Amino acid sequence: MRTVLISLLALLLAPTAQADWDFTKSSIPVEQILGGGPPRDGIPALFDPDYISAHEADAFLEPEERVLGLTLEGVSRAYPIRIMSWHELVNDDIEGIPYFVSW
Amino acid sequence: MYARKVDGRTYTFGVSGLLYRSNVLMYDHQTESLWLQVKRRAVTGPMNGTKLKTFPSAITTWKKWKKKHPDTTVLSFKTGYSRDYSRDPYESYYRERRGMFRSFFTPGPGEEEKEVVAGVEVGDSARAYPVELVRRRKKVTDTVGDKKITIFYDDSTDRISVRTEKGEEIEPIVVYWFVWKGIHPETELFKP
Repeated sequence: MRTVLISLLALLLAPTAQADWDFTKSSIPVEQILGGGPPRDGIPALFDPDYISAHEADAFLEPEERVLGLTLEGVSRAYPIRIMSWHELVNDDIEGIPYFVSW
Repeated sequence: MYARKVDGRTYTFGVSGLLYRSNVLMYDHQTESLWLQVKRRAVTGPMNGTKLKTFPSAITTWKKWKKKHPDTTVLSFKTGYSRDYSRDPYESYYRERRGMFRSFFTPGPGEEEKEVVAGVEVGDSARAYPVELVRRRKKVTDTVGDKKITIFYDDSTDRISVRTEKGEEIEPIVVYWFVWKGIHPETELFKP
């Protein structure tokens, strides 16, 4: 039932959602682009966020909980999935290399 | 994980709130082009057709990641936003058998729409490998398009890596089967 409701909501939102974007150029059928619910930036991406040490993180994280891990230029960072679910995207740099994490 | 630098220019990315065939569309703030997450490519706007460069990443447990990378830092819960980080908003969704926004998908016989797969693209060809199968076998070989590939599972970080016969690395994307199938309707689930 919830899925049906969400789909209906998506269809209702679709025309409004599309009006905000320039689809003059596209490589997908734009009529199949639907609103997922939240508006643009309704789920706020993070920019240059703060990090804590592994030791500090132990106070918050369960050993078996999921993280997204990456290593770049010998620097490792972990992104707890339960934070990523609220923000979906993190924009950051490691050693001058700009990257983003997407969940 | 992806490079934010594309052809010498640096971009920042945000959440568009839009979906295409069950798939998340991100956007860049500089040109407002939409980028299809699962294809790692801009699909509308001035950047249309541009590919993102990927960096290796893993989805694993905190315990495993910390053991492998004791010097790791961790994204702080102090993000500047007031959200209830004590819980994952999709907690119950992970356990559900049916996918969200799945109207583009009809599961084949014996298929679980929310089976977690590693999607691999080789040129114009694509195939999905059940993560559980790769984990059990540690190594799976296959031919996709005109390339022989090997898929490896590293138990120490749960990382899945893909290499062609010539040693080129292909970064797989770990998604639900129905999400992959929405974008690659012509591709099959790997069956041993």
